[in-house]
Amino acid sequence: MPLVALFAGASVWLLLAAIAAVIATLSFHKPDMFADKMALSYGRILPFAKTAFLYGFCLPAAYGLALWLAARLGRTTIACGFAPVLAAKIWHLGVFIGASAILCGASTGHEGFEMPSYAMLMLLVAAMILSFVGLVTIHKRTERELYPSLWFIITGLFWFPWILSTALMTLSCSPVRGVTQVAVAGWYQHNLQFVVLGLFGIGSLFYFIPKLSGKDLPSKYLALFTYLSLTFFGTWGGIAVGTPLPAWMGSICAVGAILSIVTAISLMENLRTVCCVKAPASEAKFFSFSAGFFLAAVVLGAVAVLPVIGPKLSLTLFHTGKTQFLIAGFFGMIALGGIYHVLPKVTDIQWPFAGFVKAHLWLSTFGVLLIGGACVIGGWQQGAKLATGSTPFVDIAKSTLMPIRMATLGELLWAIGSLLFVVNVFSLVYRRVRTCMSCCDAGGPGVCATEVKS
Amino acid sequence: MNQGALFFLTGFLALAGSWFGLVLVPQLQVGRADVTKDQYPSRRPGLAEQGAQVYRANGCAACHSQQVRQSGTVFDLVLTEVGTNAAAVVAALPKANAKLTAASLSALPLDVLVGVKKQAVADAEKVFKKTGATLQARVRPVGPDMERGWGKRANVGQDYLQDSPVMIGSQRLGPDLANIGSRNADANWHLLHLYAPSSKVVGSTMPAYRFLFEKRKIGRQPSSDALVLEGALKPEAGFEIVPTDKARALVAYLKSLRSDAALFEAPITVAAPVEAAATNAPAK
Repeated sequence: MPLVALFAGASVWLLLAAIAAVIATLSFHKPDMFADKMALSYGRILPFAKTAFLYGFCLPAAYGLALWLAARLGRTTIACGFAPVLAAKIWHLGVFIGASAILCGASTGHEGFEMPSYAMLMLLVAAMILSFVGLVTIHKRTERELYPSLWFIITGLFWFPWILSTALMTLSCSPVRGVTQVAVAGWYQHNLQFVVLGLFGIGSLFYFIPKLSGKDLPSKYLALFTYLSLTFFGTWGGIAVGTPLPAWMGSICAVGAILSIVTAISLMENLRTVCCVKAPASEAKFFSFSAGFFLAAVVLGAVAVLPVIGPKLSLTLFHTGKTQFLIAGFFGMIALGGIYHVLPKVTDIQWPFAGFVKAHLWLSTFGVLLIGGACVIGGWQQGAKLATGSTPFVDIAKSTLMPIRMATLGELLWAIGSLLFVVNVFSLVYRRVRTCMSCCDAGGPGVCATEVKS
Repeated sequence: MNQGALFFLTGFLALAGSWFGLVLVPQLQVGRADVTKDQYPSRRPGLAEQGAQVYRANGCAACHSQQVRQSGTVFDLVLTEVGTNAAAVVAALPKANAKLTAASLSALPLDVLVGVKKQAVADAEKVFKKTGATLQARVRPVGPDMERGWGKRANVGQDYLQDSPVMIGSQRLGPDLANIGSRNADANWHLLHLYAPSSKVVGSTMPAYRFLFEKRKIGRQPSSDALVLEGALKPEAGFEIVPTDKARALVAYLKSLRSDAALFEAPITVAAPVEAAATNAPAK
């Protein structure tokens, strides 16, 4: 089963990323802590944590949910048999190689695209296989009408390999000259975090939220509006005003960021009446909270590009906070809720520790709020101080310590939640192996062993 | 709603538009820029080039930006020579700046106007035109970054032509480094700062990079490169702390970071080079 392969690997990366993120913030408690540990120094462990979370957890979870939704909504099974399992293995191996390379100092130096080309190439191959499998699954659907979720998912399946190959070609294989690298890296990072995760995430929300509250999606036309506004406005972003690039680029990205508010508002309006926050399923709150985090991230993104405030906020922790709300708060919560929903269904086994699900919900929600909130407020103050030339820099640097120390606490909550999640996932997989073994012993239709490995 | 193909065509166009706009167009607009006629920016020396890779590998850009920004430019008007008609210059002085009197002329060069708009400088120049005095209008970028001494002007695309990867950073948990080479070119200071940041900057929040240094037994005689450390940082007797090649390369890179050349898109008045001394006496 490709989903088990994708999700189990993702859960391991989730835990590793959380631990690495805690270690990264520790440097701000005691600057000499990792003075002799090259691999744990801030500049290496931080990109490792981000890479492990984004490429190790978010994207495999996104692909897993996309494949599952494609099969579910089309009333069919995931196509191509063994290929998606193989792709999942290639993907996780690629992330393992790339993330280890970052710790060894082979990072590319481009933020959000740190993994070296050989690892990224593996990811591209795996992504193309998974995208192909997803499209074939949708093609062979028996339910002819395309539910809105599938519009988003199909577009995401196209867009991710597109931006990944563009970044790979122009940053790693034959690097473009000078600041053009900054333009491509910014564009890639924004499109990955906001558009690709947005497409997969919103696609999932349009399925899960009405499903869990037992109602129908109020308006397909509004969903179409969300889809078009995300692809038209959301894709223009990633370059801050003031970056040493032609000024029109910063301006047009600012327009894109402000217009993205309509994407969030249309999404909220559509899902408002079918809100699943009071639904009985324990994973329901993950989805309702994630929609709230999306709105928060989009509004903060729009604030960050406003004429007078924007230049002060650029180059501060404000953006770290906004990104935290977007990646961990919005997509991370959807991925967790999705996995909590899907894994029992595909394995026919209930979660071994049902209580952990609820604990994980609150741990991760407060974790994200603490990290994101501390960074947003701290970044605001940092920006105000940076804008006053007479403030000595040491004072500014010291004032960033408190928000980052608060973030340690948030990361810790998130890490504990991740640990519960991993324990739950692997207990479930273990039970699945045992049932599978016993049915193999009984001479029943054996399930291939690959389905249990991560 | 059975116009699936139409939706996807629209979505595809939207995505393609973003790709054309933010990947292809910048490539056409600035991707083929080249060094200026006077060879700016010049290529870094080999050791500094290696140092850039140390900077990349250790993710220094996670905390340090390399992009100075400015909020605008102001102009200064400086009177450098009075010329032959001193009386006319004295008469013109109060017209340009009410605070100036004949006594101000005793010390040249004299700042006639400081931090004003372009038009004010042009008006003042007209006042002095017939007096025969020599004046110089200077362009001076301003902003918090300049006030903090991080650079003389904002960085522009031209500054990064010799960099690959370009690491302009997105965070200022540490100071901006775009001009660290012109701010502080003392290699020894940088080495000590990398080894123990708080020994050089009181209250520094920067992590120490001791893994870039080697602690070794003193051989027949102490190494000339060994760090001169004080107090608790001092290694035990018979040992010394020596920078590795990586530390040396990183410092060479930091020293090479400077972007203070005047460019068309980032105008700034650079101080005229001091005329070479006519004797072989060492410069003061």
